[in-house]
Amino acid sequence: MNSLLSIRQLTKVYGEKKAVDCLSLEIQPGEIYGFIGHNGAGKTTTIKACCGLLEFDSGEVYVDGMSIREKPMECKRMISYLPDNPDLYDFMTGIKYLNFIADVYMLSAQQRTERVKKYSDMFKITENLGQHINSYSHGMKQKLAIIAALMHDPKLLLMDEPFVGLDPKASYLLKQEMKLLCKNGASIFFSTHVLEVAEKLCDKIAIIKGGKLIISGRTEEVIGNTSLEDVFLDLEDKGA
Amino acid sequence: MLKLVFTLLKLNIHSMLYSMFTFLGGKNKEDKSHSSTFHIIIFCVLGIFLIVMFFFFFSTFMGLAVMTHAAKLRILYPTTAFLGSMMFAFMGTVLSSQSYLFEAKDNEHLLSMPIKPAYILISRFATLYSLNLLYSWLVLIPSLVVFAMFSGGDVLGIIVYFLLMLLLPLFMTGVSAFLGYIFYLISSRFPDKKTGNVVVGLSFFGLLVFGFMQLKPYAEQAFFNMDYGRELLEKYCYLFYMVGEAVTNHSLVCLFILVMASAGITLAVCFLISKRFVKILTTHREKPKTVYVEKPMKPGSPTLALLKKEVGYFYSNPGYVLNASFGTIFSLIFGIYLINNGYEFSGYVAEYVQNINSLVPLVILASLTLMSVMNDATAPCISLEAKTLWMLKTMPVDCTKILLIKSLLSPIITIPGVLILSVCSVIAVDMTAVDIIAMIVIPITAACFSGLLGVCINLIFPRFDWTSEIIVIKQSASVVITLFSSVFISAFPFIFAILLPSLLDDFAIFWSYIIIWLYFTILCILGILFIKTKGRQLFNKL
Repeated sequence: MNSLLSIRQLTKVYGEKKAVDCLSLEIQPGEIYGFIGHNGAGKTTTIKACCGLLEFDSGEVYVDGMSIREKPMECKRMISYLPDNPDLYDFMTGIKYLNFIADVYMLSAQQRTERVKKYSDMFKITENLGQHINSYSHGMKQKLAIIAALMHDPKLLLMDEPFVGLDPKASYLLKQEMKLLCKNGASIFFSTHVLEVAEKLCDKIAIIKGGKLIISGRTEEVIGNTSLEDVFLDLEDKGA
Repeated sequence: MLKLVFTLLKLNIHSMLYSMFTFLGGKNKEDKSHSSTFHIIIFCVLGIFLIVMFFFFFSTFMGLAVMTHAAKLRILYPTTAFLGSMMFAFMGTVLSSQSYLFEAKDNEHLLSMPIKPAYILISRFATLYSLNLLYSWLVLIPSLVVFAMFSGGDVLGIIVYFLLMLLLPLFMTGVSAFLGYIFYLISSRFPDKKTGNVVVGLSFFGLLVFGFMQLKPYAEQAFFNMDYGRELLEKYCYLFYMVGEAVTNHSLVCLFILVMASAGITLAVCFLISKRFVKILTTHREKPKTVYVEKPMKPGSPTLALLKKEVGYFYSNPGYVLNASFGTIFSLIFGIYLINNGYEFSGYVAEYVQNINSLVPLVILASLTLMSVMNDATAPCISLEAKTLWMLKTMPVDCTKILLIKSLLSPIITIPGVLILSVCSVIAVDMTAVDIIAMIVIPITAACFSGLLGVCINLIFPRFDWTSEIIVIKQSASVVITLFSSVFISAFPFIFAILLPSLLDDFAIFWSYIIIWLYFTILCILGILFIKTKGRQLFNKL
């Protein structure tokens, strides 16, 4: 089966420092892939490189078999990216922002109307859609960014710390939606510091340290008989 | 306390200067530092700009000094020089003082630290003062050189002159801050504060223009009759008259009054604002909640969506509107002036430009084109994206398209001013059909060029670490470079056309229009080519 996201020998250097060092990962359709590491390990850099936000020095990233460098537009049409901090266009109202995203992804009138209703009702922000985004709380902005990311029915969802700022109900709903998306053939690659969530939610897990991949595989194989927290702390201490 | 205020001041000034002179910045995470050749070119351009400004003011003040010495009214020289420079500084700072004082992004961060709010306010005042110094010294340094040349060895006079160069900007800081506070009070009464800001800013600008129009006959009379000018200044601008007294007659009393007035007004305004400073910074007026009512959503194209986004952002930000649409505002004022004084204007042009009446439309066209390129809205457009840049970069829209759409903001802002001034010109001045077409097509093409130039320059000098939007809108390197270079580049063909003696007949004027239009079209093509090649590389590296 073709990988939906294929990261091969990815290297990104900032000045003298290698933020990501020869990292390779394969993410198959229908998989939820968790990406774990300490602060500054290279998670955000990797995710940004995968969605075309950041140029990288060597290696390659393929989305559904297409290189993000050679065919960025085709790749971006399949991807949704959710940043760690949802900085949106504050001067727009929530509904105008969603309409803007729908225009960019060329959704039909019916598709946008249906999906806005579905997701805004699900995350309970329908009433707030008429307000300017600058009046939103952090959590509401995060919900709006999630709706925008889900609206065009992406094949690959790249998320950086998606659960930060969400209330427990919204976190639960997002997890359910992630599972549903993957059931329908999409893939999700996300970073998190919440190890319990990663352990329960992810089909596969990768742990990165100092830009290098130190372990990856099916969640049960990575964890073994212990917990993800034990594995992570053990690997950190060992300096693997 | 001083150490803390100094640290805050250093932070504010660093942020301001960093945004103005991005090319001086050190290496960042992405190592986007430019080569040393590039630094040298930029320093040369900056040096040329400063030298041109210096000699422009130097020659102006030489003329003034000769006139005042001939009239044996030496006192008028420092009075006029300081009055002019303070008006220049006032115009430069007054509309942004509200933003500098109250709208910095780090306000909440600083308030959360163990820093007294008064210290934060003092540091904001100090930033405003440094900005006033920057503007006024651009005028005052050449005036000091001229004063020294004509002073006949009056060392004390030169020392007092220099002291007042430090002191008077403090006075203007107090005045700007006070008006900024008043603007805040008025605009916060509006249901939407941003709309309030635009209304207040435009009303104030209108009042200033009205005031200048009223003063024009007095200024003309004073120019030809210096004694009358002295009487006017003594009667209505006594504070600046005292500057003259202190410099030329070494009046200690005047100097003392000036010190007291400058320090007094600044301290009084600082005290007044400090009473409500925390409240101003922490009050977020609750807007009436608009409950969303579901309705069918209309689809649109990505291009139109991005264009609407650019225009929407521009009009949602009063600081942006007021600072980046001066060209349109001036076009409207010029249109009104032409309606009232079209005949007089034609007379001036005929008198000063080779006595050729047929050049009047060309001169109006030149003015309109220069005003059009002053709408430098695209110069900060990349910097303003800052934290929202991720959206543009992850969208399935080609970055060339994104950049070209951004460049369209300038012509969009310019079109209303062009159309209104064209109509006014047709009413006020004799114009042929060709003149009218040129009056519309050339300024819009020039605005397209200025829009493209702004995007290109901002791609070379982006700045994303601003604490207040007004810093990148008003003082960033890309804005300064775009504004001056686009005015200079746009003026060039008109100077050539107006001075060319062969433009005596309508046929030659027709061809001059064609050449000027081609000139701007070629510049636009070059801009597009830059965006398609180097521009997209720079954008991808951001």
